[in-house]
Amino acid sequence: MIAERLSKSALAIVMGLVAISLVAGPADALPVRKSHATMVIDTIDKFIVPRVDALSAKTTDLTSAIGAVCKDGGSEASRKKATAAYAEIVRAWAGLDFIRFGPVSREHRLERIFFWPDPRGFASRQLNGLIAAKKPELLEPGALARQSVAVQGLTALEILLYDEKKPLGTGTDEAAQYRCALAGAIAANLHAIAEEISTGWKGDDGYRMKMLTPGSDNALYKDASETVRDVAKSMAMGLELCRDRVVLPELTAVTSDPPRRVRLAFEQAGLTGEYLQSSIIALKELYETIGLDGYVPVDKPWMVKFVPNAWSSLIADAAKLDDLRSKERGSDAHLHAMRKMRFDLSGIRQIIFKELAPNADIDMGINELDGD
Amino acid sequence: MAIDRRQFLIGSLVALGAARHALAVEGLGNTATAVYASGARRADGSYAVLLIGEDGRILREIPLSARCHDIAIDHVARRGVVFARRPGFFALAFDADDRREPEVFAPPEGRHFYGHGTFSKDGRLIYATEHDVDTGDGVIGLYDVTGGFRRVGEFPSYGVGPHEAILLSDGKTLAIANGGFGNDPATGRESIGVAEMAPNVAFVDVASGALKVRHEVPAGINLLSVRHLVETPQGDIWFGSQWQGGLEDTPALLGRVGLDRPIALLEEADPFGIALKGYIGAVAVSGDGRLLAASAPLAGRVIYADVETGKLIHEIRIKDSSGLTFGSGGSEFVMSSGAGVVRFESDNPNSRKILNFTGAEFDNHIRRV
Repeated sequence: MIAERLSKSALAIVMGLVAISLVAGPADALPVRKSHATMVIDTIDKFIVPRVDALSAKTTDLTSAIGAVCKDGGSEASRKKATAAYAEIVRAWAGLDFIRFGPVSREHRLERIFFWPDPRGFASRQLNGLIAAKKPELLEPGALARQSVAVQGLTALEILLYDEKKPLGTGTDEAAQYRCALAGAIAANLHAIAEEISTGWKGDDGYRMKMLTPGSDNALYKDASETVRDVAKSMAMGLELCRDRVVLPELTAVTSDPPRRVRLAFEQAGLTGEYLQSSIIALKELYETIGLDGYVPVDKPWMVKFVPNAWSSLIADAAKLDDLRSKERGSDAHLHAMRKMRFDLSGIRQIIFKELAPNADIDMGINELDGD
Repeated sequence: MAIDRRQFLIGSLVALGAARHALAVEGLGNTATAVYASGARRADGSYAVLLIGEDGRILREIPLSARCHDIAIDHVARRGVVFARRPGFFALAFDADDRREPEVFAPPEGRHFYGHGTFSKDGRLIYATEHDVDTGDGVIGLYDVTGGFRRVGEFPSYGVGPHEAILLSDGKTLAIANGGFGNDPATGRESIGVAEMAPNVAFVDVASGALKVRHEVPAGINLLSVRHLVETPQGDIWFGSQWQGGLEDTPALLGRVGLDRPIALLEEADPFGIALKGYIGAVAVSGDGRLLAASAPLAGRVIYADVETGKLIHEIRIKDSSGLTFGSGGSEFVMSSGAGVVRFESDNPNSRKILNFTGAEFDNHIRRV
């Protein structure tokens, strides 16, 4: 009996050591356990601000590219450059649109950049109204910012830039020329919004400083436990957007009887998969930037590998999405990829908010994370 | 005068209902311990409605297929209807004393629930806040409680995104918090039309479905989504809101409105809207009508206001606080949290207590049965 007990104890110790070594690995490979303040400053300086600046730069490229389309009568080459520039912005925005605090939350900037969901085709109707009216003053710098949010950003530009019946820049009639000029105004408006967001983060009065200096004299944040919650909630928001904007609508449509087709974000541009993949890659980077991987509980070493594997699987499945939708819609492979993504998104969310975040003393409940 | 079918149905049900409801009062409601109902997520990730005694026992657990939001209570018949959260596609009616099997019902094609509903005064109808998916308009769906929860009509909510609707003490007027934005069931809970929001509180005659009056949130703060309502014994209607804009622009989140008074926010010297992170989860009035309580889950607080003076007077720190209802004593509130806590708070220190329920994350609302 004693021998049996001893052997069980020994086994437990060995198992414990194995568990610890799985988590820890070599001492120099230990993920740093960041403080809340470090999580916040790293997220702002290494994730948010560089991405906002990149978005701003890419919108400059887009504005130039669309200007070229209008100038050369919509040649295939110039339109190709413009769609490539648009795709760059979709990828850039995919890595930012789950950051819902700070300058983006003011002046309707979020919706002005990307008006979605749009189940009733509001953007298209609003756009048609503008084109029918052909008001030259709307093409002036800053004028579009006072129009409906639906016509100010990526949703409206997608409609104009990917219209196969009326390729942008082609046609010499007044309406065609106005459409092209409007597309240029939208690109310029996107740049203006990106600049506003960038400026909003910076400087002594910028949101960065507000988040880095919590305290009793700070109206927004009293301590780093508050700022880190905004950062962590962005992870939840991003995972939910991937699920609710793409994975669940597609799964529901494909598995309904009879199967239905659902319009997904950036579908007209053929960038749905790109958008999803870029979102997931960015979320993985945010996860690593916050440093949540450093907070795997010692008694759950399997998480060390589960989370990176889930990210990799998600990225690979998202990469297949556009092809599966266009060539094998409803196939076993399509369904498998969607279900696997649903599983991985849910798994990552569970682990982050039930295990890692609480272990990092970021304890957010069902109501705080997703109340109504 | 022509009577349309919908009005006829409503009228018939009201007339038929009165007698039976009177019978239902006798012999019921005599349980020794007060009972509270709340939706919850269980440890295994499943969802349920829990009926909890104030002595800390879980009296019943009714499994649900998905997350719910609020529970409409008929205090006389001791019956509840729990609504799936937005966009919700089911509701479940249960008898608090387990005298009947639970019944499940659903909104019709092209509609979804917003998570709230309320019983008619005689208990024969349920008024549910709903969304017309095609038009984006808010709707109040009417369901026959005694007829298998068959849908018997609807009328407009007179706004977009109706959230909570309460029947006022006159028994004739429904106050509806039109939050101002909708969502597309295809994309889950993502908000639609936030920039164009025009939230309001609409007062509707339940007999005819006609609008009595509608009070708009002022244009300058149109991102203030009015969500939850409560009526004081004095007849004032208080509301709790959720701000859809930037944190630094957050206005006051609580306010008063009435049939004959426009929306007035509770203005405080301190910008408490920011401190509460722009979000009120639920509102309740104490049994004696003196106190308003509002939960702020993003800030982990419950705040109290004096309903006479409109001043904030007290706050309680409670992590992931959300559910709130009146309790047994005059000043008692019962508050639930996502951390599995049900807390009883009142002026009387002896009656204060905290119950911990392992493996239960209490969802947005708790109601006294």
